[in-house]
This record gives sequence, structure tokens and C-alpha cells, in this order.
Amino acid sequence: MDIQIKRGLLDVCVLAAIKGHDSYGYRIVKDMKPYVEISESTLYPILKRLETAGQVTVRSAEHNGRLRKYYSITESGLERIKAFNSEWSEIIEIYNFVNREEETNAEK
Amino acid sequence: MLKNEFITVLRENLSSLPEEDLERVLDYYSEIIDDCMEDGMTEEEATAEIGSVQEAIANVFSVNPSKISEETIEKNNTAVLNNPSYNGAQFSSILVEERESDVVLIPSANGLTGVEWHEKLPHTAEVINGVLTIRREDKRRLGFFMFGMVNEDAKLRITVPAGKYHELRITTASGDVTIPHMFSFATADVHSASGDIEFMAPVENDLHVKSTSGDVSVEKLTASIAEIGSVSGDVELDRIKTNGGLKVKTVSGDLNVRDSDCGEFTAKTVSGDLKLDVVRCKDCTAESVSGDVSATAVIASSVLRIVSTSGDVKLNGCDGGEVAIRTASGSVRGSLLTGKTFHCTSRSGSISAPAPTPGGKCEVSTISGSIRLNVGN
Repeated sequence: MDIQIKRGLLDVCVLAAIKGHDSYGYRIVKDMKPYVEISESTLYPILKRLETAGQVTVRSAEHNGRLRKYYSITESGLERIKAFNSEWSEIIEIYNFVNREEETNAEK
Repeated sequence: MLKNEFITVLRENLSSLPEEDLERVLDYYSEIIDDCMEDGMTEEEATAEIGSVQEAIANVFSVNPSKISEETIEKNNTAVLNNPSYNGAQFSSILVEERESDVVLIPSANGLTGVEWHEKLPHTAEVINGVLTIRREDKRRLGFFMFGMVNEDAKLRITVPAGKYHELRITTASGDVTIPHMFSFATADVHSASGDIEFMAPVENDLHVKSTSGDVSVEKLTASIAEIGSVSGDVELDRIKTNGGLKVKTVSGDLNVRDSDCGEFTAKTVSGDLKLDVVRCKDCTAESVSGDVSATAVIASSVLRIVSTSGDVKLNGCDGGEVAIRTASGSVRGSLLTGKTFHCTSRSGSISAPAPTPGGKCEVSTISGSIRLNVGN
């Protein structure tokens, strides 16, 4: 898949993984894996990117005697998911156009 | 691998990061490993789950240095070196020993380094003492059988962050070499036996480009000193600026130099033709044995010297503080921009030269060729 498209899709998937509840690195990957190809290493730059963009916030909380980082979605992160959903219908249109029947050509 | 080992390797390879970023990366992986183990994995399984350390490092660099490099490129067109790394090790120079594949240097879009080669032509790529070293694996026997089976346009694609590198060294046997203008080097040395070479990157100090039978094309180069040549291929130079000197040489290939500005300029060929268009320099020496020499708007602030045995010499609006032209059987004709004290000699040819005016010397001598020179147009 085109790297730019894939990158955008992965961003949205990660946002979706923390949409319902705050989550942490290992769990995000575990939740996503059945649907999307992702690893702990590829998640790192995505989280950093989302945090820089203000779509995700991070807090550290104690867990079993150690610190764990929890990620939560922000208003702007929710907007991003919304934007993705509305763009999706456009993408379907484009898909339909790309795969349309060849009749228009035959008309000539 | 145990957690400690994983973290240690990571720390060593990411030492170039700002402290804060480094701690953040190490915390991230340490937490993941702990969570894996809490989920029932052994320590070994946990580090295996993450995958290779190399992958981890590459992903970290995908967010970190690209930011730096974009900033520096914006600030300054020939960017400062931007910590390129491969498999976690940093490099500032690039060395390529290639045989049949074409070598292409590509600016990386995301700040990452990648090396790709044809699957049937094994290579090794590693960083040795700060040098990204890429070698065609030397399995001669296998290479022999593979020869001819592999698609002729096999490519070795080297994707590295755009910007400035210390040294570039490339040798190929039959592969072509392409170096685009987004890179720059302190020194560069490109050598191919039969491949063509295209070089468009600025070089701070010395540039050496040489092909045996391939064509060489260098464009928009700035360098201190450049030596460029081919034995039987043609050499095309366009918009070259060297403050030290420019030396170009072919044996049977033609040599064209356009729109260039160089200190000491030497162009030599044996049987190829020599064509110089708009060249400004201090001293100009153009030599050919049997090829013709044609010079248009070649201005040498010191001495313009042209030597040919049997080739003809044609000048169009050239000039030099002093002009010296010598041929055996070739004719010399054309125009100089300013008047000179002419000394023309030919044993058997005709001579037509303007009356001497005070100025520099212009000495033209030939054995059997004719001389016809004028001043102005």
C-alpha cells in the first residue's frame, strides 16, 4: 500500500483503539493486531506523531509497582476520526470510479 | 535476548538523540517488555515479540532526525549533515563497490536510510567506522552463472537523507551511476568501467569522475578541483564552477564543456573532438591529437593555449591575456575579441592575420596548416 495512505490509516486506527478507553502501548498493539498489521516498533512513531499533533495526550500512572504510560484521545483526535469517516465516502466514490465498467470507452 | 541487553543495545545506538527523547524511547520499550511478561511471556519471548532492535531503531529515527533535517534544509540549501544512520549505526560517508547493477542515490522522504538490490544479486550493506559500506557479495562462481540471467537494468537503490556527506566513493564494473543534486559531498570519487556516470551534486573539495567506456555527464557542479574523464565514452560538462581547477580528458570520446567557470582549465583528447562553449578561466589548455578543437567565447585571463596535431582549430570570439596555438597539419581560423601582437608561422600553408596592435602576444604556428585570424567579429 502507498506509504502515505497507510500512515494516515494507521493513525486513525490507533486513535480508534483508544477512543472508548485510555490504553497503553502493549494493549493498543494487541487490540489492533487482529485487524491491522502493526508492531510495537511501528506504534512508537505513530504515538509520537499523534501526541505532537495534539490528538493524543499521555499520562504516567502506577501499575504493579512500575510506571505505565496511558494514552487518551483528545477533542482534536475525535475530530480526526470524524474527518476520516466523512472522507471515506469520497474514497468509495474514487474506488468505484477506478473500477468502473469499461462501457464509457466502448461508446467512442 | 534479555530485557537488559535489548535496552542496552538500544541506548548505545540512539546515543545521538537528545536525552529527553532517549529516555522516552527506553521507557517505552521497557514498559512493553514488562507488559508482555505480565501477559505470560518469558523475558526472551517478550524481546522476540518486539522484533529486531534494528527495526526499533529505524522506527525511532523515522520521527526524530527527519524533523532536524527538514529544518536545516530550509535554513540552508546545502544542509548540514543530519545524522543519517543505517541499522542504528550513524554514518557520514558512503562507499559502494558494485559490479553489474546501476547505482542510484535517492533522497529519502522520511529521513530513513534504505538499501535495495536485485534479489538474485546478493549485496552486503553495513556501517563500518561511520561509512555506509555497500558491496556486491563476491561469489564469483554464482555470479558467473547468474550473469545474463539477470535483467539488465538491475538497480542498487541507496536511499539516504538529502544533505551533506563527508565522502562518496563508488566503483562499478558495468553499472551506471546517478547522483542527483540534492546531495553534497566534501569529496567524491566515482569510477565505472563500462557504465555511464551522471553527477549533479556539489562537491566542496575534490571530485574525480572516470569511466572507461561509458559516457560521463556532469551538471551544475561546484567544486574546488574536478578531474573528469572517459577513455572511449563522451564527456559532457555543463555549468561547472571550480575555483581551483578543472581537468577533463578522453581518449577517443568527444568532449563538450559548456557555460563553465574554472581556475586552471585543461581539456585533453586524442581522437575525440573538443568543443568549448562559454568558458571563463585563468589558464586554458586544450589539446588534441587528431580531433578538432572548436572554442566559442573561451576567455582565459592569463594564457589561452591550444595544441593539435592533425585536427583543425576554430575560434569564435575567444580571448586570453596571451594566446598560443600550435598545430602540425590542422588549420587555424576564427576570431579573437581584442587585438594582439601576432606572430604567425606556417611552413607550407597560407597566413592571414590582423595587423599587430599593442596588447598581449598571440603566437600561432603550424607546419602545413593554413592560418586565418581576425579581431572582433
